[in-house]
Amino acid sequence: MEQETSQSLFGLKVDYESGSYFRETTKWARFIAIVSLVAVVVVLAFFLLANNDRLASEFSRAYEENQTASLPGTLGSVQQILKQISGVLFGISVPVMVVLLFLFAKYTRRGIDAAEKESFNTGLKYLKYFFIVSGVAALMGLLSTFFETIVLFLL
Amino acid sequence: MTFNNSADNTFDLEVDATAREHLRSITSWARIIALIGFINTALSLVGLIKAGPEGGAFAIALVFGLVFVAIMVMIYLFLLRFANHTAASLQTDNQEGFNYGIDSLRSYFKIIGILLIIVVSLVCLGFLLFGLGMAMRG
Repeated sequence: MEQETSQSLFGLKVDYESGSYFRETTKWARFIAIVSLVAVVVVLAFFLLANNDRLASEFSRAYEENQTASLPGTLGSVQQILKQISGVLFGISVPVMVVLLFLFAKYTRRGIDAAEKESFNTGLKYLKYFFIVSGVAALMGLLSTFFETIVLFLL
Repeated sequence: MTFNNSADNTFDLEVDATAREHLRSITSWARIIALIGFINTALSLVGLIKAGPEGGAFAIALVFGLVFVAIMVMIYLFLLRFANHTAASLQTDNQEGFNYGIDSLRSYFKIIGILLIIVVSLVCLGFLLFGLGMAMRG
């Protein structure tokens, strides 16, 4: 009986409860997207405006201090290549993720407020893309962490 | 009976085949991300313990590391809960399970949002101190 009451006769719907959850989700998603975009712009502007030799040397010194040792031979080359690929992918994926998150928030909110199925589905489509990009970035991050851990145990 | 209120309109929004397809894909990827996150967090903890310096600095680093691990585990648990409950509700048409899944997604984004506020505040403070340090050194 309990099962029957919770199971919808007409399939799943965005009811009042899930609608309010979706609303709050889109609110936070929009906030994250906007703050992340501002942060990316501020960091870029900081490096472009404060482009002097002293600042560059300070950062390169801090970077070298935080570098872990490299693996010897072929594994070391793979580690370096993986690190560079991860860096490039991370640099590309962050702005893409920010845009996808913003679009998810925009269309899902519109779909729920106006009960527009197409907007709602478009919002979910962007959330799907967001999770795909996040998944690939997470996979690259895992490989990078995996190599760092191997380095710690081998050297 | 009128339905002018936007909250009432949500009753008209059905999760159709397209939305189900998107949600299925979203939950699959969310599950992958959560599992990768758990492994990544565990590896980070192992790395912290292995590379930890001697003495009091290590204890402080370990405390910060454990707080970081606890937060990350909580984030990925919410994501996994969203994935599991939403995926199950899509198969059984269980409205309560679906609502619970979306509630977990809300919590996931909420925690990330709050963490983002903290991180941005700390980064701003860091830049301020870095600038002050550079200015004081002439």
